[in-house]
Amino acid sequence: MLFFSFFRTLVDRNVQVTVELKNDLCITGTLQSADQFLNLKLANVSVNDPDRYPHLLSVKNCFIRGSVVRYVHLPAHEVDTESLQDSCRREAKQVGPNR
Amino acid sequence: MEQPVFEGRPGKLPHWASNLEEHVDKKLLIILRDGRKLIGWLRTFDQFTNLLVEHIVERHIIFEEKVFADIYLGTMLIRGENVCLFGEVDPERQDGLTEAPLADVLAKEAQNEASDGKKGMDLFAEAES
Repeated sequence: MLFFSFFRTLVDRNVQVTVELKNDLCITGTLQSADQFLNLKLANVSVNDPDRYPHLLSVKNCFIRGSVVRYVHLPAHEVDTESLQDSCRREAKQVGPNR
Repeated sequence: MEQPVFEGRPGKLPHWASNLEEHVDKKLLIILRDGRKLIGWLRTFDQFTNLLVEHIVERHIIFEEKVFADIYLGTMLIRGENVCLFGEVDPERQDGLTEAPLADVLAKEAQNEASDGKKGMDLFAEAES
């Protein structure tokens, strides 16, 4: 649930991200919502790289299935690394050492 | 349409569910893993992103020539694992494409695929893990 919670904090802050899919397509937009499968919804999608953009010409918002995502490019200043590391350690403790 | 029923939290979607409800009865452009672009009206969904879509057309686009052609497919249940992404088609946003004869568009597409060396099949086949 760590990254689900992390994405929800990004949603609250209206962060702009670029989602790179496994088929090399890249979509930039504002993170609107995420769910436990890390499916993502982006608002106001735009194109950076025309070769890697799937011709979503008349589409403003889109839903991206979590299973097709390769990377979510984030602005570095939006990531509180220390806090993430703490959450990670806490989750690891809950799950236990012998998983 | 009737609201889907979820036990325990009346009126709220479960925490694991993305709200696809807001896309029901809307016209969607759906991109599949094999690169196909389907346009149709979303009627139902589930947590696997299985989608029941009506009045589907498969749209073939030649971006360089700004033309497209549609193949009417009717009503289909799309298995969720094949869905890449989808978005609501905004009627006010012009995409600048004009319709062209299907045979011409398919011929041009076949030409492009042959010269690009791109396969028209599952682009995720090796990436699955």
